[in-house]
Amino acid sequence: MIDTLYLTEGEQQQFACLSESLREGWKMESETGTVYETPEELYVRATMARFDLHPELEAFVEAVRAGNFDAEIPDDLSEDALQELCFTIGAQGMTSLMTVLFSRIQSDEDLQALASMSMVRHDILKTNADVRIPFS
Amino acid sequence: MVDQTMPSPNVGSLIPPEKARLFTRQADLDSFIEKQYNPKVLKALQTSVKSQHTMLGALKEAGLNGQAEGLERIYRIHTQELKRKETLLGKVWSGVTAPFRFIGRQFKEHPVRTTLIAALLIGGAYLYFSGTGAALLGNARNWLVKRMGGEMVADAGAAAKTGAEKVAEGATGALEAAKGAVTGAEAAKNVQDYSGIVEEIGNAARDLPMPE
Repeated sequence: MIDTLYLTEGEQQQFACLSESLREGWKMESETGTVYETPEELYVRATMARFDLHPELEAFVEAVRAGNFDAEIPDDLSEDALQELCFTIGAQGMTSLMTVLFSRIQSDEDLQALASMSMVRHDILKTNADVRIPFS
Repeated sequence: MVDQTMPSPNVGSLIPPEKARLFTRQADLDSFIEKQYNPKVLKALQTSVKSQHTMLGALKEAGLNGQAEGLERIYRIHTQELKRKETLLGKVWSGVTAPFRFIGRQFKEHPVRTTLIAALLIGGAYLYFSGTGAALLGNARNWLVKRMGGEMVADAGAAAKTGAEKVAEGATGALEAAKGAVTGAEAAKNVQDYSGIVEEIGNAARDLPMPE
């Protein structure tokens, strides 16, 4: 059961602007993680991504990288493929997705997606903070 | 941009300038650290610097003179990202399916889908390093501006139209018409918000580091 949103201060203000009926039943936790990825780290993640293990996703990613921005996202993406994708775009990418979704929330289903994204971002931020190798 | 992984430490608060200017020898610095923190901290710092020198020396000896620092840095990032991936996919998200199912559904929605593409392109920064990478990102940015802006303009238009239609429905629809007009105005404002997002994406793409 997904019933908690992990939101930054700014996002909490946006959430407060939603109608009461939409907000009803949702719990909110403050997202305090700040260890977002650097462009260099995202670059490394992209080069390490194993999209080849998920043919249904690989075709889409390759199409986008080849400049076909109208490529269709397959319907049948497995959870494994989505985990690979979420890790690759990182907390930075998840935040961008949440920003866009926030401006479009109309239903409880949209909020389920937002909560899911916030949960995934929370996991990523926590792991980013826990696993850090300092640079010389 | 949001915070980066390695924020610059506040050097002044760790070693105040009024103290630093009194350091004339390594022993002065070490003495300050020992008193300010404790002998264990000093020992750990000394070990770290020494092992760093040893590592760089060994890499240079192995024939990497001139490349040692760069290779060491990228090796560290790869090690870190491998460990993060192993932690998330292998442990934290092991057996977790529900949130990814909800996210997958949203990826089919246009605005989110559009942003996903942008995120992939920014993440796929290596394209930027290839001959056609810069042009591809430029095209992507133009596509994003057109697509995202266009979608929101259409939304604004549709909402405004809904408002006008409701006016025509008569007095009972007046309230709804007003609501529709407000929604139209909000959607128009969102066009500006979207432009901001697109700009941010574009900036992120432009700020990608060049290969060493």
